[in-house]
Amino acid sequence: MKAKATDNKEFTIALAGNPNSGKTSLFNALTGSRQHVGNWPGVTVEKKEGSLIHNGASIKIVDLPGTYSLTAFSMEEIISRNYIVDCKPEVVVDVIDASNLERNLYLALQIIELGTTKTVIALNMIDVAKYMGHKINVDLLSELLGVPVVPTIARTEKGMKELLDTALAVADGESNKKEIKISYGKEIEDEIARLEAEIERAAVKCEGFSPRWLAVKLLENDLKIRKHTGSMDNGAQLLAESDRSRAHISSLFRQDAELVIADMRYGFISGLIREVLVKPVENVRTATDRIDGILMNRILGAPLFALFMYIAFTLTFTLGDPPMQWLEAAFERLGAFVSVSMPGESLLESLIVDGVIGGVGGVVMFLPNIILLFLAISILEDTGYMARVAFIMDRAMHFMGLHGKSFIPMLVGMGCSVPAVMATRTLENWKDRIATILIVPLASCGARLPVYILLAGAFFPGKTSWGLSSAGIVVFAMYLIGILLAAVMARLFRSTILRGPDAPFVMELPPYRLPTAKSIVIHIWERAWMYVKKAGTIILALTAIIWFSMTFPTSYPGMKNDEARLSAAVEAAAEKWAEIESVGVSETGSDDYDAVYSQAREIEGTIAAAKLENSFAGKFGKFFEPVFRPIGFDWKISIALISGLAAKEVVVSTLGTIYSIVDADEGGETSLRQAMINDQQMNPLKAVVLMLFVLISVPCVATLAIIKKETNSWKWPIFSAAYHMALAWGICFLVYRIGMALGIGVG
Amino acid sequence: MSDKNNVTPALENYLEAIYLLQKDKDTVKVNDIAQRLKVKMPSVTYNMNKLADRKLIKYKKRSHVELTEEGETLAKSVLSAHEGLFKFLHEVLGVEEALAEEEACKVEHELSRDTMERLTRFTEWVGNVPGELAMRPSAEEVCGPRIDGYPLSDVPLGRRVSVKKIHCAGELRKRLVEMGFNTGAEVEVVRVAPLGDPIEIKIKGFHLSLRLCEAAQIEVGASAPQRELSDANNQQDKKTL
Repeated sequence: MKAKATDNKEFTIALAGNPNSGKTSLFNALTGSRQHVGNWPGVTVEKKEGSLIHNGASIKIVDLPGTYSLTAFSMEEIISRNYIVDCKPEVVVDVIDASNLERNLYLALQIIELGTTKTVIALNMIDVAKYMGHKINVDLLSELLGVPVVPTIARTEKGMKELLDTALAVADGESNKKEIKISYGKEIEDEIARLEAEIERAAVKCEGFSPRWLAVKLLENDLKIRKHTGSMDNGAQLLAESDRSRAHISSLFRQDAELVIADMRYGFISGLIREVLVKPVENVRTATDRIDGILMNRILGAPLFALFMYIAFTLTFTLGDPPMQWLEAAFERLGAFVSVSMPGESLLESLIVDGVIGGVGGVVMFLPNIILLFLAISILEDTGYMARVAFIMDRAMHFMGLHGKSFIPMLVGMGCSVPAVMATRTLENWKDRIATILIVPLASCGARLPVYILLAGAFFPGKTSWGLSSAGIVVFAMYLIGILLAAVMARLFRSTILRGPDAPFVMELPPYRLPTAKSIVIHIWERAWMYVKKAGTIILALTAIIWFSMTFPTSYPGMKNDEARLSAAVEAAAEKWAEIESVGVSETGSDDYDAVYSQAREIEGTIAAAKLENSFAGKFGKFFEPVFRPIGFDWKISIALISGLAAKEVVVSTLGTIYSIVDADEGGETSLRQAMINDQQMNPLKAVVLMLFVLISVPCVATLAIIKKETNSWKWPIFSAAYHMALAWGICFLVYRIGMALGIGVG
Repeated sequence: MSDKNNVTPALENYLEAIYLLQKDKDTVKVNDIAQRLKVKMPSVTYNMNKLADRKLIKYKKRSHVELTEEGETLAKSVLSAHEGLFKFLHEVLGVEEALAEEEACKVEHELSRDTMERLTRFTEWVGNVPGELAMRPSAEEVCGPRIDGYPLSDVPLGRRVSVKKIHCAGELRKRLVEMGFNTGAEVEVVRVAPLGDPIEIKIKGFHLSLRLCEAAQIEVGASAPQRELSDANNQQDKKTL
């Protein structure tokens, strides 16, 4: 038996293709659950790999980023090109949407022109093309392109076997590949020949590429190739020659050389199309046209859009709420169980119950939301409505300096910043994506609401003259301020640190398609797993640090004394209780008991407050009090704000501890409210400043962790924390000082 | 059915199309006509029967169409009226190409032969007396600037135009080119977003969105006549295949 390429241990197929060509479905159909998601080295572009065994050969499939061409403009294109050239996969499978042959062939042509690997074309969605009445002569297409063409339907997994058979055969060199040459017309061919000769003479080499390809790329002004050429000996001269050729071509055609070459390519493609494709007259209204007639209608479009967004949001956060609470309760019961089974009160118990179980619970609690959110997002994306969302909202988002696709993360941010940051993946432009990630925490998430309710309820009682509750208006104002700040900051970032041209809004509005369960499940699984594996560990670590700093040291000067008082009070209460039991219930007896009991509770609260005050976090808060004093906060609030790093709603329970109220978040809220009103230090102005601070300042650790994961660097979470802190301080300072000067809300 | 010999504007358009197709090919089929006029097959068949009734064409079902002598004369006169009007509108008055084409199509059936001849002579006279015209204000000064290309952002909904030139550079140009905005590509504005900004464009059989500021950088003009395009492509084919 002769040696075959496929006898190698690992045989690699790279999948290339346009976005929306069904490349992902095809990848899923080929690899099923045997896939692995990671990043391309050094960049945040997602890399998917999968494996399978076909006819005894073990095959690795690499999903290249979806692109429309192979120039050196975007990260995705450079990755694809470099992968094909440097990693030399045995076969490149270019996935082509058969119902959209002309545009898809543009990329196919560039891959074939590369000439470095064997290429197979998967003529995908052949059923859709047939349904639209397109007749494609597959054999002729294959002959004219010089590569095998295999019709496939990835959705129903048809043609997969044939595709793999062909890929294996091609890799073994069994197919007689015909070299095709795209002719660019006499004038350009002359220049190509001239440059080719120059390249040969100057002995400029670019590994894997033919001189002809280099010559074409130089004429096209390909930045990467120019840079490469410039770095070679004799390179400068060659560049000068290519510039002369470019000038010559553009004077002949009155257009830049790259456009002339693109026109010629399209000319070749339309010649090809004429031969292989028979299409009915094109004024038939497709199903997509009819659906868009309703969904994108000038009058109906906006309300329907609002309805869909409402459904998506409700699905994520209302439906996600019960499972979230079950999980929370389950972890609480687990904690209680552990706490009961362990003897005495120990640090170990606290570590396990509050640190580990609480921490893991804090990670897992987000899962229902993440799963439901990505269910909603995959449905929106796979049906094709996502592109319409961006289309409808682009005007508003562009005003903020962002992209239409930034809308979904902003909306999701109203529920929770963690999935919102994950949802920014749909943004292709890196700067747009970072800007969106930076402003998403400014949308008031669900966890901030308890803080708003506590403070607004305590300091803004009563109703306004229109019969609206004042507290309601204050809470609403917080949401509004968040959105306005997000708009201002987005514009600011896009014109300073993230300055750059707007990403073009040249976005395909793909035909509507029914999503498949398989692709949705895979999509959700990927996201949920990534969250648990990558962000989960960071969240766990940060939660543990916060727990540690709030627990240690476990004693404070004079604690013995307080504890003695506590045990005395507890004993007294027990005595009273025994008395009641023996004598029987009487008015005075129960009043006495209540008095002693509440005294014990009070001492208990004092101890907890003193412990917290004396902990690392407490010392930290006191240390930073001078920083917070100009904006009106004392050490109590500083500590509460530091605890808010773990999760924003924790601010409420920490305030409870500080105000010596036990069970602040369960029923004790009214007494906490009362305690805060009674605090001479607090007033409505400070309450507003505190709410503003909770809204704007540093996002919770879960958000910072997911930012680290999504941007693949510590730079952005650190920047995010720093800018939120600075912005919060600045705004709070202004509001507090102006309020003080005008005497508003100080009484 | 009262006046069998009355040739409606629609029928005149069919005659014109058949005449032009005959110049290109030896045989004209019903679906060629349907494609050229962008109408459905049944309506072509219906109108072919009407033309055959009037003895303007020879037509048998499912076979090709041929103009009779009478039909050819009529087609020629309609065509020359069209060309004359188009010249007058576009070259003399400076009306934008696509609009001139469209309006010439509407008016060509209504003018009498005499008016048409006078108009043609006038157009020729304007073209032939540059010396005298130079003394007077130019047509451009009187009727407004001559419009050849115009930005895609100005194209009304539903009109088909073709790409003439892309004026931007960098990423936007690259995106446009890879999405198929090559010279001569046909585009149609399908829809405007509710807030008035991005627009939806149909090109090469698929839909995409463009901001108005992006569309403003694409110069378009009247939809290129099919013939020129196919000639260019045929040349390509011969070279490559």
